Amino acid sequence: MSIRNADGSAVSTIDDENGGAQVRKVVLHRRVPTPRRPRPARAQRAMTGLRRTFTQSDYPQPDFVRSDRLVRTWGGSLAPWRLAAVGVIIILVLSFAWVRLFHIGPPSIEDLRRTAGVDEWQTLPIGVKDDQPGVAERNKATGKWSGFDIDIAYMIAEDLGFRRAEVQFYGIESEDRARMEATDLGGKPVPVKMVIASYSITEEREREPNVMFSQSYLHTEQSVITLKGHDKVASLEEFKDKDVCSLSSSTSASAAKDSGAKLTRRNRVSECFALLDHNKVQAVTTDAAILGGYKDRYPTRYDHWDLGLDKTEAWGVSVGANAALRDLVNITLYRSFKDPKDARWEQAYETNILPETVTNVSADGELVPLARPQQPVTARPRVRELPWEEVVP
Amino acid sequence: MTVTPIARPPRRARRTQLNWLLTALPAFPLVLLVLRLWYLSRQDLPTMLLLVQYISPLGMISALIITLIWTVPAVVLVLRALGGLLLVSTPNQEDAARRSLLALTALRMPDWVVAVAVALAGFTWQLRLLPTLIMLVAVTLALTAVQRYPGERRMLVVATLVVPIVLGLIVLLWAWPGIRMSLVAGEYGTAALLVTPSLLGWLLTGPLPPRAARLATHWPAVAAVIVAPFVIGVVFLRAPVLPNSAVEVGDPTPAAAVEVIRGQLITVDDTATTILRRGGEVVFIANDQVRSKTLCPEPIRTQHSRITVRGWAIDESALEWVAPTRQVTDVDPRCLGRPLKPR
Repeated sequence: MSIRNADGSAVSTIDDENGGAQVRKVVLHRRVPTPRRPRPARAQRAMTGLRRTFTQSDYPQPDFVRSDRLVRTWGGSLAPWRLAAVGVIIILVLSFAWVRLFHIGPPSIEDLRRTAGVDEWQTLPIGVKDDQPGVAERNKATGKWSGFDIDIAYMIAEDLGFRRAEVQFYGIESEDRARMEATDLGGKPVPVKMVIASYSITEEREREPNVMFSQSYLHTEQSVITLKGHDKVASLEEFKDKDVCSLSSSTSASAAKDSGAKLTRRNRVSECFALLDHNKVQAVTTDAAILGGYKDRYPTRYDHWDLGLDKTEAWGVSVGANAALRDLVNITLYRSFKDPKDARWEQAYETNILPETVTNVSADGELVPLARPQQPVTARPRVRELPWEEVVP
Repeated sequence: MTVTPIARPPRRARRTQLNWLLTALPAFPLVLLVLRLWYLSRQDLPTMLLLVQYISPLGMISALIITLIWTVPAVVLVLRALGGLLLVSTPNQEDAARRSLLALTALRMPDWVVAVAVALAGFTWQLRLLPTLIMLVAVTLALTAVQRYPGERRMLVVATLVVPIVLGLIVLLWAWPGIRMSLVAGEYGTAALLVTPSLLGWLLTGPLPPRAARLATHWPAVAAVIVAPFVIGVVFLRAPVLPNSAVEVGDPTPAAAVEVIRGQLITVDDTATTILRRGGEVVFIANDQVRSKTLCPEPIRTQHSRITVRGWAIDESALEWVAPTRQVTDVDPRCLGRPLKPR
């Protein structure tokens, strides 16, 4: 097809020049200059964008309401609050799932038992004193163990899952406590898993490599005992240059040494009392709870005196290097402290130490304090407890 | 000058992706089961083959179902609620469904699936999750109403505001003893689980700001889909597939020492008892050496919470509450690795 003029003459076109090929559509690319609007300031633009993101935009409501428009406008005023609610829910779900699945945070009791190795032990050997009436004593005739430390040991063993028959007590001397090496009845050394042997918690002892204390289970103080008829005693200085017996590597020995007394050290408190009975020493000094037992047993033989020392002897359970076992012991102590229904500590105190407080009267008629009659404040051990689990009260 | 927009070819890519997803989905439990065995055998191939020989697939699958059944309604209901929220927030439902698989799933999900999921959740979810379930039901109902009957304003007010608020109040009143108890006991997580759904439920029954809707619904769902296999895997890897037991081993003579071996009982045949110990070690004990055997409770025992709502313990599902249970009162000493009779 060609284009002709009115007179019929052919008009030269592009089509003619390229041999009859026809161009049906020509697309012109031309940039339409857009009228420049004044651009709002950057901050203003950001604000508008934010507002559009977080609020429902206002749609003009026509008379013929379209259904999808209605959907969009229904309840639009609450939309930002809904967004916040969705955010809150997502955060809550994430945190719950995280805690539930990955067990973050402190270990569970199950983990502690596994780390401590408790599940593998057939018996629980515990090092205790064997010559301290009221604290820990082995009846030589019957072989029965009794005393406050023994009851505390049974309490801990019970929570660890050991029956009484599976708890084995071995006598331990003061100097062996840091090594956790007790001796059996035949005199052979026996390693023990924990030491509950009127063992005072001190910083110096905690620095030793194999000593790790639980929290304290009894607060007592140092006192002194003499034979009946001795002059009134109010301080250790009164024994300056006199013979005083105390337990070796004990806290009371260093206090006695500071006062200038001539110190005799013995490994067992019963040996000290033997010296006292034979007048080899003037006095025996150690923790009041230990001496109270002797005074209670031989009220006519000894005089028990309160000392003006303000230092508290806090007894703790040593677990060697087993940190998980320490945590387990602490959980038991915390349970007994916190749970009103758990009266095992109170019973141990009432059966062993409370009866002795009545008989422990010094010569001038005053009661000698033996131990604090409440369980020491025990901090909550770090043990995992999911929001809905009740491991410790 | 005319510029003709050329219609895009229909997007088939998404549909083929969906097909592949449906193909891969049944393989997932299978992979889980194999992974569970591999984990149990501590990556030791001979041990794993021994386990494969003796563990019945039925036992594994029942362990899988018992452990994971609660996740099915969770997935369905959360998908429906989130997708509904996205559908309602965007101007054009079809457009939203084309752009997001989440919206598409919510749009196409039959109502009976939601109903079955609600029933299943009602039986298998723990009590402390029931307020969440009720909130999910209320939100789903309201969103469906907004989606399907956008013109019925009066009905919408009832469905999106009155019903969720009344339900929330009822739940709060019903759970109040439990809330107070958990606050007193310091279990703030439980209290939050009981309180928050009732407080937030009525707020989630309408559209989000349109530009933020995709960010707040689609992408969390995508993230959840990516994370879910791992979560389900972790949950299932912890589930026991073999019975935990303890066996006393010793010579038949009465004075002989007795040792307790704890582990998971693989099988007992006519000559030996095969036990998988905790570290992945397999022991064969001659049957005449076996003195006694006992089943042990779960190593990770769920601590029964003391918190109850009107007599219903907070960590029990309706099914557990109704079905009879055996109370494990004290632990057998053999499960702690000690002989039954101390010597």
